Amino acid sequence: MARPPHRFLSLYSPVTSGQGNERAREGAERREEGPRPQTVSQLMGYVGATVRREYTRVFVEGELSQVKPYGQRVYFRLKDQNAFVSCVIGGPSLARLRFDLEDGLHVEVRGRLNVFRSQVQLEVAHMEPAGLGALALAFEQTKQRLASEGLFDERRKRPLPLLPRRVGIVTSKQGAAVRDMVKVLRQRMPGVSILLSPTRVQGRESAPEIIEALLRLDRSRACDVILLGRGGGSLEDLWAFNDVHLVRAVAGCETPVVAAVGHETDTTLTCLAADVRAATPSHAAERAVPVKAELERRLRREEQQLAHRLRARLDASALRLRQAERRLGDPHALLRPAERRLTRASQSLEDALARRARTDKARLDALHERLTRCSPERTLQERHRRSVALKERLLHASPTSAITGERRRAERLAERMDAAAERLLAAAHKSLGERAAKLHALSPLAVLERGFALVRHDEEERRVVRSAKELSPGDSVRVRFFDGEVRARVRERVDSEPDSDE
Amino acid sequence: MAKAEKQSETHDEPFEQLMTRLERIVGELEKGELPLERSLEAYEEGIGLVRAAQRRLSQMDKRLEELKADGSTAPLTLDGGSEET
Repeated sequence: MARPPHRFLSLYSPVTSGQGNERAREGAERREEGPRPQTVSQLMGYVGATVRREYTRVFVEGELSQVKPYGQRVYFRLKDQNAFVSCVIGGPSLARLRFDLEDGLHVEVRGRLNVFRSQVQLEVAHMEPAGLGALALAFEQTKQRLASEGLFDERRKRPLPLLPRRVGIVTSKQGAAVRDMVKVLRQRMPGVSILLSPTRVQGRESAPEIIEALLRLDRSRACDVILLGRGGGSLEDLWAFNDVHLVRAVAGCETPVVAAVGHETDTTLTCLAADVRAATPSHAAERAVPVKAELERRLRREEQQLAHRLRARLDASALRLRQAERRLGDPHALLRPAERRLTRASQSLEDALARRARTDKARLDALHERLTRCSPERTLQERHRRSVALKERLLHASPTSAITGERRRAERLAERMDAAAERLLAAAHKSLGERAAKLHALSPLAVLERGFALVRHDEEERRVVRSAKELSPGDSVRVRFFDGEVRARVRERVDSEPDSDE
Repeated sequence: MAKAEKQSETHDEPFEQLMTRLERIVGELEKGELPLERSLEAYEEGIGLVRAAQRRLSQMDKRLEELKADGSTAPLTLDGGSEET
């Protein structure tokens, strides 16, 4: 079933894949000639068979990623910068592994390829850490484990004492390390007290001895700091300092530990667990003690500071005192507001008193007046005045006065009457004169004087004859002239023509 | 009496604690907030601490010893000219 049905499919075999493109074109041309297409399953089945046949022994190097245990197997990817291959390890191959499979681990893998679910899969038969070797890998893995326990946490590391009363050293009695440490300690702090807890520090098997020497020193409580370490050597030489038990002992020490193992480039787990990690034994000694001369300088400086600060404090106090004094110096300034208030208060008090006095005086005056009105003297006066007034009225009201009044009135009237009479008389005189003149003018005598004569009946009561017809011849008449009268007789009557006459 | 007490008080004290106390006292004096009487006390205490620290520096016993397995100590001489300085 999985037999290759076409020649062109074999062209896709990885062995010849270098010329794939060219061959694919060729294949496509051939397909046009009429061959039937395959199913995908047929294709993949053929690929699987080919891969299984061709890749029975692969040896490949790469980095582990996406490590996932699943049942009795562990699945992971082996990758480099550009590609990856899915891998599986299980059974005795997994059991033989001396290290844990972790992401990022660089490994060398032997095995064979298979195609499983259309995917190429590497079935791992043997795996080893690449490059580092087993020791280094074990170191890394122990480091990870202890780190995850928090043994290397910076938080649990203690500070070193500034000046240890005694410095403990855990190292070999022989060798450069102890000499370097003692030398540096004494250079920095002449007279420093040192207690050595000697131990072998060479090789893997020395670890229990180192632990014992360390714990002995720690339990003695004789030292304020412990220097632990040795000089440089091979990785195997220093291996004891990667011992898990020693690392735990260092972490568990009561006394702060400065560790220095080998040279700058060497890092041991003991160093990581120590409170201070120094590059070399000499450096460890430097960290353990200060330079005495510097410390003495610092102390002198502190002493000067003390004196200086106290002086400053005293000066400041004195200054404040002077300032306070100065402010006290003018008590008037303090009293002035109170003084002003007092003045204002007394002023208003005076005003109030004056107002009050005025009010009181007004009341008093009013009362006094009322009282005066009520006094007997006042009453008497009042009565006297009233009696005088009454007397006056009485006088006015008496008959005498009435008489006098009437008399005077009568006199006045008489005077007025006389005056009036005089006026009337004068007026009468005047009027009389005027009338007399008028009368004279009208008098017939005056007419007679002008030549006229008045004829009257001698008889008949001497009536004025007004018409000629009244007279008949023989009648007697009297003719009056202005200077006398004559008696005459009518001889004849001559009737005159009234019109011709005129 | 009181002075003796003070000395014994500072005797067991870690050196950095002496220094810390000293710095604190200087700092307090620096701030100038202490009452005058307390300033004088602080000054005296500070000077005492300076003396104690100086004593501590000068009174080191210059010993180099070895801690034996039984816990006893013995004077140590390093081979190979370690005493050259």
